[in-house]
Amino acid sequence: MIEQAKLSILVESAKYDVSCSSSGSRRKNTKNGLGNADFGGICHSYTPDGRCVSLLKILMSNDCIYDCKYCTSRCTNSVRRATATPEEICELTVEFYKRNYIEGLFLSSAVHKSPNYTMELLYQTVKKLRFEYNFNGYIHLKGIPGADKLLIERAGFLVDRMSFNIELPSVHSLKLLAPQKKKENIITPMKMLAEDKYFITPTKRRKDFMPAGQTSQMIVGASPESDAHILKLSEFMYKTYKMKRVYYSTYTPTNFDTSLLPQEQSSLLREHRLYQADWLLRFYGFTSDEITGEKGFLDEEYDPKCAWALNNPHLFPVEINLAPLETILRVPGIGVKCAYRIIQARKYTKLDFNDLIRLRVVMKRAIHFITCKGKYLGEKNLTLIKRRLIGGDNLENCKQLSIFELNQTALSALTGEL
Amino acid sequence: MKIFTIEKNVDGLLTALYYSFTEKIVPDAVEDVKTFQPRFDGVVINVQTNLSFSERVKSALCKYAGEDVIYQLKICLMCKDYHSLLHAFNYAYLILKYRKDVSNMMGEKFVSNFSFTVQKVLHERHVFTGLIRFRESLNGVLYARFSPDNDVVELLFPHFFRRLGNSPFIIHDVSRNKLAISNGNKVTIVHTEIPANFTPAQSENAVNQLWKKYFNSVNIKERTNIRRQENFFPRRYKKYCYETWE
Repeated sequence: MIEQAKLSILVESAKYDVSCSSSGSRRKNTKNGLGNADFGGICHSYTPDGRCVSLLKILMSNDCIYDCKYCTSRCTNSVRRATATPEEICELTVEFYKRNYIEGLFLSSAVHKSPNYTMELLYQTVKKLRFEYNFNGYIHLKGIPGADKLLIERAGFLVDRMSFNIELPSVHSLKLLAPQKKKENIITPMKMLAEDKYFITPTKRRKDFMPAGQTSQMIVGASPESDAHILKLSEFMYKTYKMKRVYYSTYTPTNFDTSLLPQEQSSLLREHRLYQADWLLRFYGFTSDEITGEKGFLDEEYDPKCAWALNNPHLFPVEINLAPLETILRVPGIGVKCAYRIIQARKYTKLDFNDLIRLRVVMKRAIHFITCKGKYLGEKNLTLIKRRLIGGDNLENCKQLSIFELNQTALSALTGEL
Repeated sequence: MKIFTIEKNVDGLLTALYYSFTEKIVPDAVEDVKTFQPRFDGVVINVQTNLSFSERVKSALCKYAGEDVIYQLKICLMCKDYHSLLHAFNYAYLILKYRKDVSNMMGEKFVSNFSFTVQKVLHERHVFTGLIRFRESLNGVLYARFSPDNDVVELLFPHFFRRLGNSPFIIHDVSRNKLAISNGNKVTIVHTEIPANFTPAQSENAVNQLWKKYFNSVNIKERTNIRRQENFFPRRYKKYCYETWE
């Protein structure tokens, strides 16, 4: 079994990879096999940073030949190095899996010796796991940019999901911060994995080749690109490379020796807003231009849907009993499930506000943007709507009135006199 | 106020529906006869389970709303909520009244109550597919203890049965003394109050230590967000998750 110290080194280097989802695959167990995949994905634990533990996230090696400025495993960084063997990874995965600690394996690696050598190592590990250990659980493999096409394709037939990290949102930043990584080496395998021969229909993948599709990840806040630029790039990747997900990772300072990188952690709220905007791109029919508007950056005060609705007051309020699904999806406080529930429920009866509460619509947001049977119960003034929407976040500035304060407000609170 | 007291199972519920339709009595409350607390203000009607009546109602429900409705009623009854019986009764009553599938009538109070109760149980089942922690015993049996809010053992074991293949396993609901025991080929549900005698395998401690090490290493300290962790991972669920133990 792998040693604790080695495990610690390899996991600590892998923890900045954001993706930990185990969804999208319906892999079944085989006779005498171990494991299967759950289509919705399963979270097995939650760490104190609030992220879920679904997969065993580990590097094959953190002994890297590249010098990417933002990375802890860069060759110029003085950290402990370790390389695991395929047996160690397989054994650990199986032991954790059968105790239900994890849903599968997320295997990545630093570029150890050469891209092809590393990719070969990853491929051998996955192959061993599938054929020697009869493991049928979820496997997410991180592809190594610059590795041979044949190796990548062969690995694709064994894993549920593969991903190549785009790393930074622009070629300029990539050249500056990861000079050994070439744009072509990242883009070419992405294109390859999106080829038509791996698809049954334009959106549905073959069962035997990466059924959970491909994803990518970029670092936010290490380079000066705007949210508009980032979302535009994500939108392009969703359309062109048929991505399942694009992940955003707030830059956490790990390199204090360069002036090319910020020395403070970027805003986590920005990352949160980007994820919200990403959801709007994928499930709500928004385009990146609509979400970011002219400012180029997402509003930190409101979520992107609220911000869009406030910028387009002429489109609201929407009559909930008549509006089409596409319009209902754009109302703040109404999610995809809720929108479908509304469409179903209104076939039988005209809905009012109480019905919407029962359907789990978030009324504190939605109420300002909808009418039910022609009635409007929200605020009439845009400034008041903004204040209401922001209300929850401003509670920190509020304080309990004290009976000992003798100012006018406190006195009127005591006497009830206005 | 009319109160039906019934056995908390599908047959008991369906018999109550039969009684309600034949006697033209619509109850204000439906309660489990085992846990019923007598009141001053109610007329209590105890409905005895009758399998032939329940079979007639079952076939009618399946005819109007499909086979799945019986499964959903069963799930609703697994909910520990006080009103789960009433929600299931009202939902089935509505199907028989309208003689059609009412699942999409979410504007109806009875339908939404039923639907969210079912969702609550299924959600907990989903959560425990992740939070159950097996320990390997000396003879190779995987044993897990847990105490769910709702009675989800029966919903959980098929998941692990598919997943663990030939490996024998036991899932033990400690709060209800209910066990799902699999020998690799067949699963049996057992009720017992005898405490489980568990001797861990030799490798168990080493794997456990590795798991704790992994859990601590994968956390990013700069991003600590305990509130978010506790939203997803309530304290009552941490009892059997070794990685969170100090």
